[in-house]
Amino acid sequence: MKPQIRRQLDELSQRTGKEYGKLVQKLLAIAFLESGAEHLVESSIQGIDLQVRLAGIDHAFEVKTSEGADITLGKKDLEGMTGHTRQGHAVYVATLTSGLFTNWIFARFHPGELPPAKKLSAFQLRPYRCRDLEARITAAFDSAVEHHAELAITDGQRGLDQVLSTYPKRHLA
Amino acid sequence: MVFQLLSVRAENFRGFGAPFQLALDAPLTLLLGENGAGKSSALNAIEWCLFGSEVAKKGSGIDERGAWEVAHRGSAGPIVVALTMDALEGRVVLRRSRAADAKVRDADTLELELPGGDVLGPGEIEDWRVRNQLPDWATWKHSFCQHQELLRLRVTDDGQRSAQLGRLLGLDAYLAASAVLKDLRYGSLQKTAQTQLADLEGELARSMERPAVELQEVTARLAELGVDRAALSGDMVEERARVLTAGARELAGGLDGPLDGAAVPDTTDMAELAAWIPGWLRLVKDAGRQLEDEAAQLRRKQRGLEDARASLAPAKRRRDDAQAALSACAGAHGSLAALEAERARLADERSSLKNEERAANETLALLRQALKHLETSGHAGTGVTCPVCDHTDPGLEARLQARLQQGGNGFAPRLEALDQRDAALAKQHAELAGLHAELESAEITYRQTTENLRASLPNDMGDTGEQADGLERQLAAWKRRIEALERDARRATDYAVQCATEAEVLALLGKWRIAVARADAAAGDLTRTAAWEDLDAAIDEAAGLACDLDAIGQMIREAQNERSRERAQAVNQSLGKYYGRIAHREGTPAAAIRVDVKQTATKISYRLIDGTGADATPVLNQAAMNALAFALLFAQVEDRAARGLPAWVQLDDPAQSLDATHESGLAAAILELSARVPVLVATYEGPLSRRLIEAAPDTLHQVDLGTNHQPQGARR
Repeated sequence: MKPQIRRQLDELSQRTGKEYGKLVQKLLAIAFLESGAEHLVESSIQGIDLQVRLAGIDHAFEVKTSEGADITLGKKDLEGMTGHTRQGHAVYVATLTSGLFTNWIFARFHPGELPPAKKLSAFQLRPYRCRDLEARITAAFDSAVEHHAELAITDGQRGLDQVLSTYPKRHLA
Repeated sequence: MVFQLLSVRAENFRGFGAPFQLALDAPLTLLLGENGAGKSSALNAIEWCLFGSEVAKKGSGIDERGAWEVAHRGSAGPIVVALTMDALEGRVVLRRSRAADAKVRDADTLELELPGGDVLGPGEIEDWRVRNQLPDWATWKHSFCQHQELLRLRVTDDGQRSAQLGRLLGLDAYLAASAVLKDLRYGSLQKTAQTQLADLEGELARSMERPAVELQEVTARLAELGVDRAALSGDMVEERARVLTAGARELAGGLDGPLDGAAVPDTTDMAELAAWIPGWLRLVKDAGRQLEDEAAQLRRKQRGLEDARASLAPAKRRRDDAQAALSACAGAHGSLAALEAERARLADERSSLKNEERAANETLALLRQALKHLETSGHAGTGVTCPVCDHTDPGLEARLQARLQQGGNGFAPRLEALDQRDAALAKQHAELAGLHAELESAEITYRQTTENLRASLPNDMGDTGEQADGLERQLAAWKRRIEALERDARRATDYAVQCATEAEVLALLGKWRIAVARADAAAGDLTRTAAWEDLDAAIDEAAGLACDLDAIGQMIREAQNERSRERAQAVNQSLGKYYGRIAHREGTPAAAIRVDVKQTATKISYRLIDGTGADATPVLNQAAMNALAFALLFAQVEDRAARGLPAWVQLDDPAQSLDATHESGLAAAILELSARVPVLVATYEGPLSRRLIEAAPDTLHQVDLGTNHQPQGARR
């Protein structure tokens, strides 16, 4: 990730506080739509955060952001991911932590391997990474941040929802 | 169990100078002797033969071994220790030897003599050890012998106690696997990777700072020079360069002279412009100065002409006034020559009159003389003869007196009138002369003024009328020219300032472009570089390995936990039995000490709890600690024997810190253990030895070492 993008994300985090995770999720949704997602369902309240059909394959993403290097996976997160795995979806923990070397880590979820409500470091998720997917989304995400971070700071989720509403393939759960 | 120690033979080893042999094939061997008799040396000989330098160095785990000497002091022969034992191959002899003068780093000679006479070297002996499941030094140290230094650590040190209990539970393999995993430090892989990443990030942040600061400084200076930072772009250098050169060309063509022929490059190349701008600026400044000089010169001429024009009218007026005054004065008094002639006539007239007056005065003097003579001569009244003509006249005196009374005949008024008339003429003359002088001066001034004016005018101006028109035209023309010169000079000066500013802007823009490139390079997405990809892949691999090791560790811990619980009952029985015996607490709740297994996400640990479930060790006294330590050792050795592993225990002066009751209990425990495992006890004559001798007359092999066998001490 370009340091410029990192700086924008840091500013976004500082200016929006708790809303940051949701805003990043929406920026990621924009990135998926810009990367050719055929269908995208965004969960605004509970359940898996993003369901994305890419190249005909259904993916499910539990999006986790963190100021530090650790994330927390709650029981409901694990249940949600397990449920989608059973539906045949390719399920990932999408993790974005802080740091200049940070990039998205899309870790493939395997039911039973991750303990609930435990602090996990991005390091522990690395063995499950899907590099192709990460490579596919990184540039689009950078672009989404570059173009919409200012709007996210000023208008919050509402602003990004307006952007997302311009994509016909985006749906709300 | 196949493996059994049969005997040990030592020569020149620590306390033994002469060859010493000890049979070890009895269930219980008792070495009796006073301090310094060689009891410990016998036990050390077995350890040294099996493990060599491992038992005799700081890293042995026994502090006293740091300064250990293997050789017997006073013996020059080689150190030799041989262990005879029954093994899988039959009766074998393991022999370790070392030259008396060997250096610390010199290797020992180790060989194993097999039943057929074959001899194995060190590498093959290691295989033989594994084959016969012989313990390594760490296992021997904890599970085969009681070293004074280590005894109580089995109980008091959490780590050692837990490890000891783990061994007691027969979990050596799990412990070894856990140790291997710990050695791999998988738990620190993450921290190491994160630390390294943090260091790299710090380094990157620092390297980004300088270009960012440089960029900030350049941008701030550009803002001071009026360049909007929001409008900064890579094309701005070329755009401004084009504007600069176009402005230069316009100036060169518009200054009418000074910059004629000055070359302005048709380029936007920063290097060319940087080379051109200083020279160009000098030219422009020189041109500005030249124009200012020319304007100043013209201004001076203009002022001269204006001054000349301004002084002409007064000069003319003065001349006219002087002429008029002179004419008026001449009309009233005549000309200067007439006045002078009149004054000359008056002077002649005055001179004549003066002569007349002098003659009259002389006459009067004579008359007075004559009258006086008449008076003195007595002729007065009687006639008087004139002293001059000797004429005697009787009325002479009267006539003389009448004549004297007539005086000078009015000369003075006539002279005064003449003087007054001359004074009036002199005044008129002076006035007229002054007017003449004034007229002459006015004439000169007027002439000079007109000459000056004429000199200031172009030559082609003829008569006065033409000159007056020419004067005005000239003044107007000069005025226009001066204005043009001053305008051009200002333009050149202003341009020079602007050009200098623009030159700085261009230079800054060049710097800005470089600073941007630097900042971009520094702030580039390093995560897309090949080096980062390699590092990222390496971190992924490390994470994968850590993950796998974590999983293996978890599996090991789960199996270990399961195995621990399976074995706990038997171990607790054995432990309780020996502890009860030694502490004389058999059948009491206090003897119901048992192993408690505690598993966390990352490790399994063991502790000892009492019948109430509380931690047992904090309340134990010294004797009880020792008792528990022996109980752990015995239970462990017994367990090894029960599992068919080589088992053996040697106790060096075990009665230390024990009272008679505990000594008795220890003897009972040793006797019980010796029924399952060979035991070698080195001690002095006392309750323990007596109890052993009394209780085991058939199974006991007693060796009395007597008094001191090492009069000269020991050396390595």
